[in-house]
Amino acid sequence: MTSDDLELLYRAKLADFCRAATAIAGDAELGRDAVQDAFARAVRKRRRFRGDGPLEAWVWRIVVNAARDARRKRGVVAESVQTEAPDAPPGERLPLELLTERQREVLFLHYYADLDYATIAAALGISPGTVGATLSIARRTLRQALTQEVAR
Amino acid sequence: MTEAYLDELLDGLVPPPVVRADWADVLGRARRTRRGYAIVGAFAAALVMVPTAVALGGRIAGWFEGRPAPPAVRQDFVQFNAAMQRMSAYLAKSGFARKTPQAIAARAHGVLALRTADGPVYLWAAPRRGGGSCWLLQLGSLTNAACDQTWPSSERLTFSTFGGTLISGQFIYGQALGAAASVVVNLSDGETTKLPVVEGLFMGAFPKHVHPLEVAAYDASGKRLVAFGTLAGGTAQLSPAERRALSRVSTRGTPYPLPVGDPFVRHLIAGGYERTAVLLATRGGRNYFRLPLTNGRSAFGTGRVGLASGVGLIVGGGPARFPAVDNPLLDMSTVGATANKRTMRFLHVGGIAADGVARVVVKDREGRGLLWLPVRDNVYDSGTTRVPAGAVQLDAQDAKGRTVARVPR
Repeated sequence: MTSDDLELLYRAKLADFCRAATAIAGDAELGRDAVQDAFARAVRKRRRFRGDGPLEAWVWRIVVNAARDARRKRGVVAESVQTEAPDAPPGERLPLELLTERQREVLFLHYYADLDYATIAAALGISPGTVGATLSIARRTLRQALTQEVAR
Repeated sequence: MTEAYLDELLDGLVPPPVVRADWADVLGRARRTRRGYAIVGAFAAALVMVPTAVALGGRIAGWFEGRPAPPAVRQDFVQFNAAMQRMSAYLAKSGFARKTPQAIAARAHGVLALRTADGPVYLWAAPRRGGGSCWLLQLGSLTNAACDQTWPSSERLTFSTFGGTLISGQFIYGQALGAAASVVVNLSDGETTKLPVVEGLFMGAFPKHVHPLEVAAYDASGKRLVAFGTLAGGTAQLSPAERRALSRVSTRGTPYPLPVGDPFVRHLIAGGYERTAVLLATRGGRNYFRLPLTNGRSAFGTGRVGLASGVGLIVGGGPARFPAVDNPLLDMSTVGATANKRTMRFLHVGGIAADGVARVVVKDREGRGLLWLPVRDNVYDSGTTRVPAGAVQLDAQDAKGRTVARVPR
């Protein structure tokens, strides 16, 4: 694996990396910065990539770690995400604080990066079965919370 | 509560970002952490430091994407614009109404840098007025500029080669749009070079004694998008006689003294052209010429019959060899915008072809043949025949019906 392969992946999937990293870091600037840092780390450590799995999953793992680090340094809780999008009206906010960190990350990687279970599993260091179960629980939790919100 | 509603909320939480790739920043961060020094802000220093050693098919290249171009390069784009405007004026006088491209020089910026035995080679880009882009290859004081022709294909691939007596190697550079992430060049010496696509542009180097057999664009997943080759199986399948036939223009023509009193002709003579051209053929009210240069090379040209200067449009004469087995067609067609101004089409088709080209087929976007033009005396011309709407491509075919060249590449 060379820097060329990393650059091709970077250029092809940059928007996906930034979107998911923004969700995990809780801030668009932090997310973008985390992606740049993560790819810099990948360039430095590329010889450690053993090729026993997809390159993309290996890079996603680095990106997720960088986004987590960014969020922790800032002390931001990923219950809201600061982006340039208009604020959601009351009653339509996603209660992400009800989810665990792992549930949020699985949800973000599945939804924002459109990753399959195997890649998510490799990126987060869990089994594909756990990804499916975690995703299901996360969605059910959010659905129930939003249904109760509407009912009130 | 539906799944769709949940998806909608997730979508609104983090909208798809509009992000600009900055690989130079990634490489800079990688180096800073490893070596613990800061990148010098000065542009000259950045050019030296930023191009990171990345092997590309045995060649060393780097990126300096997005860095503002220095004044000298912006001035090169300004001079290119002026040359284009002069060409536009000549074309108009010659009856070839064609709007030439203009680069927005103030927004010129770096795209790629390549280290070669001849020194660093830089590829600069600038937006094209009205959309698209222009680019400029720079090796020391030598520059070569071109612009996007806004051809209709969404997966377009165009390229040029650049060399010369002062350069020990050759360069290939061009544009690969659509989803193209890399370009693979198969060379006549059996080597293959993979080049990254940055801002839709690519650049690479190869030895002087070889030439590209095929240039193909691939997306990030490795899917082959579009390719241009001299022949599907490469020119190796041609017999020596067929190769020779694609490498010569044997029509002797008749001497045609140029009107030396004409300002354009005086300009040509001052630029190294002989006073006497060779009239190859007259087709559809146009004369086609070979224009000998005092340095022994030849350019080719055309002009409407009766034009005061004789010749109005000149093509070739530069380092790109014509005729050659990988370059057997010198097209001088007139193109124009369609009614909706979004795509280009051929309005008139004409040019010079090597001996080995039997016909030129005018095709539409789907590759359907619209018009078949025989090559006689090394000239093809649509004459008074109306070029059908939707004509966007020319295929040069040999006597066996094999496509040996394509326009646009």
